[in-house]
Amino acid sequence: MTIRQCYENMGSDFDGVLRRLGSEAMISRVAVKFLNDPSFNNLKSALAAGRTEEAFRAAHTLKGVCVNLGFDKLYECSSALTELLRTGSTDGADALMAEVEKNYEITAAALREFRDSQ
Amino acid sequence: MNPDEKLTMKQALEEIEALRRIFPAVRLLSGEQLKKDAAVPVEDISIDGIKVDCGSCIAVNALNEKKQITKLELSGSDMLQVIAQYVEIDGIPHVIEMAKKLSGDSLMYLGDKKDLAAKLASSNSELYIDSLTGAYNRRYFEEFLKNMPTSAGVVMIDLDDFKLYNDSCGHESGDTALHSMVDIIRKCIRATDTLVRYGGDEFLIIMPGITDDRFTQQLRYIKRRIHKTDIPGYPGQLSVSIGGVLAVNEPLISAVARADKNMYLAKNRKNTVVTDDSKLSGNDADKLNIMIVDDSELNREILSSMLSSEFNILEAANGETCLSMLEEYGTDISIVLLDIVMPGISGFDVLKVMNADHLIEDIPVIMISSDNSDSSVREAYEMGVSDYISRPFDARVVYHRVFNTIKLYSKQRRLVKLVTDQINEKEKNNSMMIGILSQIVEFRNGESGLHVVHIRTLTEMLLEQLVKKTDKYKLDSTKKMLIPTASALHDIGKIGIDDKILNKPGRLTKEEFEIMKTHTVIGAQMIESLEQYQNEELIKIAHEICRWHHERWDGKGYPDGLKGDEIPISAQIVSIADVYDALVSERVYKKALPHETAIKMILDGECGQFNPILLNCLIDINQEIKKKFNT
Repeated sequence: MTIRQCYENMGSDFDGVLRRLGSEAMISRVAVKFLNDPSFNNLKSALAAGRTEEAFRAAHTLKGVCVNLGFDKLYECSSALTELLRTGSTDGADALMAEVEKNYEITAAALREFRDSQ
Repeated sequence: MNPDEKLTMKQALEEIEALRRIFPAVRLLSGEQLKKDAAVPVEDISIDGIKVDCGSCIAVNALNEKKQITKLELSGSDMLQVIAQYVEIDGIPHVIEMAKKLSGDSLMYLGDKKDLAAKLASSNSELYIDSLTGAYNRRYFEEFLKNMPTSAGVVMIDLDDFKLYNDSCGHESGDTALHSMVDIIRKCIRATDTLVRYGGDEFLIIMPGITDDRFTQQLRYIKRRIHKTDIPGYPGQLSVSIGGVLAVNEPLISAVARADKNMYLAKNRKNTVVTDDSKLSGNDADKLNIMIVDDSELNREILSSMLSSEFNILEAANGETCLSMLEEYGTDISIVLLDIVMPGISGFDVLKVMNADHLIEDIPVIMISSDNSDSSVREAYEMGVSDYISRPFDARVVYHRVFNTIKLYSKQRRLVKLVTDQINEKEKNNSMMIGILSQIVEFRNGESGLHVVHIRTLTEMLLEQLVKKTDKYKLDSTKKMLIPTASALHDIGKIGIDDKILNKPGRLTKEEFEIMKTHTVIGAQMIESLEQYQNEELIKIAHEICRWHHERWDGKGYPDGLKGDEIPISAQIVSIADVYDALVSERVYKKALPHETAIKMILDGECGQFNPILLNCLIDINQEIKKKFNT
């Protein structure tokens, strides 16, 4: 599997990322590291425990990482959740979180597949 | 005994007998005996079987210098006193040498023993201590330390841009800076460390027993402490370039040479520490350091891969780490890429600290954040951020922004140096031009050529004293510089005066004097005709001095009869200086008078009426003037 295919599997614009980060090799190396990034798990547990401030920061970080790595779908929904949590409110957080979780799984699966095929 | 006394042998022997009543050991040595290649070498003098170490050396010195020399020596628990006295016996040089043991009794009447000990110890200190900073001076280094085998940390510290500040802000400001810097250094070193003022703004520290791992750290600490401290009256922050080496049983001078080399490397960046250890610690000496601060490892990774080919990357995962790395590396870091939202202290908090420490002025910060809201961006800029890179990161954009910002800051630093050098050049040329022009005027006046120099010096001295006494004349540092410079022009009007009058050896007639007086107005007119410079401070002051340096405090002067403080202070000062110099110099119409006479005449009002404050200044610096002018 190529990294391009991986990105296509998660519904992301590969050309955009390639333009920004410069090389496929760089993208391959860095994208896989996403699997070790703790932001998603931090977000999940913080939200479950009702720690809104912490959840906001985790969502914010996750969003940032996604935009840099070009994980478009995951970016959109985590961005929406970030804005909600910024205000300190958790109304509708669960629904947004479900979106995030869904897209996270898709992204992670694609990345795992890519990693294992190398 | 009078060293000039010439004795006969009979008289000498009588003297020696008398001396034996006080000194248990007395002997007579002839010049021949004391010669280096004498047939029988002179033994050391001894008392009660105790030999005085090298007692004959002082005899040789006394012989050569034709005087009396005393030596005090501790031998075990006994204090021995040896005196060698030069004397001519029947015209032949001799030395009478006498020695005694000083017991506790005999010292009883010498006053407090502690004072004595201190006096003996300190009689050399004026020679070896630098009076401004209290550190040992270069002479001490040259005479005692240079060749000493050393195993210690050896450090060379140089104050950055010192000459610039000293020349443009005045030597007082420079002195304060040096003094403060040494105080700070003292607080950071141990009692066992030695501090030497090696050069004008260069200091040497010798740190025995410092461990390898603490050495570089300690030097960085000193550097930061100096940079952080605000010095009153000194613009901006002090910074130092520090070079350190660990000497292992080598002569101190060779360790100093190595430390000096490191210091020169440090000077390339300024506000930097270079030790052998810091050079080898994996940092490519040419690659600049970038610090990336972001709590997401992934983000740091992305930025790092974009930049690592050209730069050395330092990473911090949170604000606290960022600050402690800034503490440690200071301006070794060329730029900081800073995130805002982080656990613990935020990017803004980091900026606050960098502002308080003045680090923001030396290290550019680029904000990297997904928080692009207007308010955040604005706040970041207000806190001194240089640029804002939004996400997603584009490799080429990031690289160029970072590189350009670094280039800008280092260019700025180099430009400061360039401008400084140019200012210094221009000032030098300025002074030269004025000097040459003054010589032209003086030549025609038939004066010595030193008159202008004297006036300038006197004006400077009076000004210094005046500002100590009162600030009613609002003399800032610019004026303090311009007035002595302008004083050189006070008599340019004399160019317009007929030679016959100017250099008449006798007394001037009334009409001749009236013409002579016009040199004030002529000079003023010459200055007024410089249309394009009328607003320059120097020109205004020169005009004041030219026109009014012959006015009198009581209003009876010329050309305008100004009274009291209507006369600009610049003219008042030059007026007194002019009178003093005229009195103590030889002129075609008079001889030179001694200093005291001149001062008396001025104070008595015999040579014009002056501002009482200025007269007091004159009295205050009376002795200094006498010394400076050798009058």
